[in-house]
Order: sequence, then C-alpha cells, then structure tokens
Amino acid sequence: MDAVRELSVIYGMEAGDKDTAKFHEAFLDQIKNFGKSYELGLIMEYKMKTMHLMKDVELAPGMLMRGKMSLTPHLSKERKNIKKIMEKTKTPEHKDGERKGE
Amino acid sequence: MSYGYYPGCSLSGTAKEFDISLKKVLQKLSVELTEIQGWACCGASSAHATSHILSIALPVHSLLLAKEQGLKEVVTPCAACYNRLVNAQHEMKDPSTRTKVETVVDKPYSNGLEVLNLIQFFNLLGADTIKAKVTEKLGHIKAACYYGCLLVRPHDVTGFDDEEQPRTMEAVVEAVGAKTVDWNFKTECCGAAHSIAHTNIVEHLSKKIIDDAIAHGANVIIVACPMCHSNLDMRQLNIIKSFPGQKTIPVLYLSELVGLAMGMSLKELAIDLHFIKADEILKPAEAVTAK
Repeated sequence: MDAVRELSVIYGMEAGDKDTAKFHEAFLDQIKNFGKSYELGLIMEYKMKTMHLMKDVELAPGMLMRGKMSLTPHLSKERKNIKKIMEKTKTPEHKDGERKGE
Repeated sequence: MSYGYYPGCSLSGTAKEFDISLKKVLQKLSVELTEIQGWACCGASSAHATSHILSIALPVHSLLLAKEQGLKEVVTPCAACYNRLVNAQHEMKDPSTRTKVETVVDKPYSNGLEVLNLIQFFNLLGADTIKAKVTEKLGHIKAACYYGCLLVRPHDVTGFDDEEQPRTMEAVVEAVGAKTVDWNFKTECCGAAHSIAHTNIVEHLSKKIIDDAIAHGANVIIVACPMCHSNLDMRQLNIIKSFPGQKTIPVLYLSELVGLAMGMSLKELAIDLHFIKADEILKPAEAVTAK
C-alpha cells in the first residue's frame, strides 16, 4: 500500500483521501522545521489546509491544561541536518519509484 | 546500569506521563537512561506513507548518533518509534537501500545497536529485579494487555513475541502482582494516526477494543504505545458521547502500573493527566467493596 501511495506522491497525483494526505504534509512540515513533531503546529496547519477549523476544538483546553500540547515547539539540535535529509529525499535520484521510460 | 534512550516526540507532549512514569520506575531500579543527543523524529506514519527512503533515513540519522555517542542499547518506549527504528535496521540490510540512505544522511552506516521496546526492556531488567521493588498488592487489578499493531508486526522485522497471541506484557503485569484477562483484541488496530483525519474510524475501532476488554472482565487496559493510549483514553470521551450507556475503562501505560506496584502515587506517575480517571479502579479491593 505504501508503495502505491509513494508513487502517487512522486507522480503528483491527486489524493483520493485528501484529509489524510494533508495530515501527512502538515506532519512532515513540522519535522522539516523543528526536527521533531510539534503537535500544536501540526493541528493548526492541518486545520488551515483542510478548513476543518472546528474539529476537535473541545479537546484543546484539556490537552493544554494537562501540558500534553506545548505552545512552543521542542527543537532537535540536528534540525538543520534533518531539513537537508528531507530536501534530498525530494530529489528524483533518491526516489524509490524511478520514473523509468519517461 | 545505563541504557541509551530514544524518547520520541510524543513523550514530551501527548504522552508525557509515559516518560515521567518510566523515569520514576527506573530511578527506583537504579537504572539510568542516556538520551541520544540530537535525536530527531522517526518520521512516523507520514514518512513511510510518502517516501520509502525518508522513512529509513530519519531513524537511521538518530541510530547513527546513538552509535557515535557510544551507546549499545537504545530503549524506545514509543511502540511506533520502536517499529520505525527496527524497520530501518531491517531495511538497511538491503545493499541498494543502504547506498541510497547513506547518500541522504551523508554518513556511512554500521549496525550493532540493539533497539528495545518497553516490554523487552523490562524483561531484560528481569522480573525478579522488578519484583524486589514491589510494595503494593495489585491483585484487584484485572488487566487487558493491549499490544496494538506496532510492537509485534511485521514479525520478521520485530522478531518480538507472537504476532497474534503475545504474552510478554502479561508476564510483566503478573510479575508486579496484577491479574490479566484473556481477550480477543490484544493485537487489533486502534486506528493509530488516523485519529486526526478520520476520527470516526478511530472511535469505531477503539470502541471494539474497549468493549472486548470490558466483556472479558478487565478493569484496566495496559498499553505501551502513546498513539494507542491517546486513541483509547482521550478518544474514549468521544465514544462516551456517541454511544449512550457506554462503559468506561481506564487506560494505563505499562510503566505506570509498575510504578503503582512500587508504591508511587497517581500524581507522582502523572496518571492524573489521563482523560479517563483511574483512581477509583486502582483503590484496593476492600475500599471499592466497602463503598
């Protein structure tokens, strides 16, 4: 299943399940920026991408009060290298699904 | 004793009680954890759903840091991170993949690290070592041990326990004096990372797990995965709203149960951060009966 999903990303095909695709984009954006997942950033970006603005808002106070969602991101000291890794895997020579015959 | 530590992103956020309780328990056992300096996210589902090489390169980056820092064993309490780390080790056995990943991370790869999930780690420390610190009787606790997908599958990658009928978590739970129940959903999926994009699927799957645990006499579900915990605990609030008459059940991390057996309080172990309260069910049987 992953192989098909990955190929659809490589070939720029439109996702049938747009919400999940937007979730993955938002998740990977946090890693690219901070080297680690940033939950609040992920939720905000996902909401803006999908416009599901009110979804799960009732859970936010409980998460914040328990300290389960930080207002600021936790940074990896290696975030610059992580960003490089993520940029390199976007170039065609590192793609697993090679565009043979094109 | 000191072991390398890859906490993963959740353990400083949604699963902070997993981190707190594990460290408290290890303090009691005089075991130290050395966090990998500079570790980064394993990529989780989002990396492997979009780029095969990225899904290996991210864990390999942290594994190489651990190796450079002289660590031999790396404890990875998050089941999802554990799965990505051992999967990366497995994939790097393929020469073509290894060449591509080495180019991406810009370092030569060498293995030699042992990545341990929480259950493996407790088993490594030994039931007798843990039992020696137990001060509380937990015989009134009937635990449904929930492994989820990522601790045991795929078996040729994890090489851990039985992929359909695992028993290693039960061994730890029973070692600290709690009872375990036989049930049907110990390796069923809770919906995992679909929690945000497809909440209804997660609620549907998690309800089945919760209902089966209750039907088999459990009064607590024990997990070793932040994603499973979040889906079974926090999402239980949605399930209660959606299904009138729904029975509730607290969900504890394995490290929290071990900590309770060692005499630590709910607050000390940060169990009070859970959405489904655990205090009532964790009172000694006499107290519950007398109420």
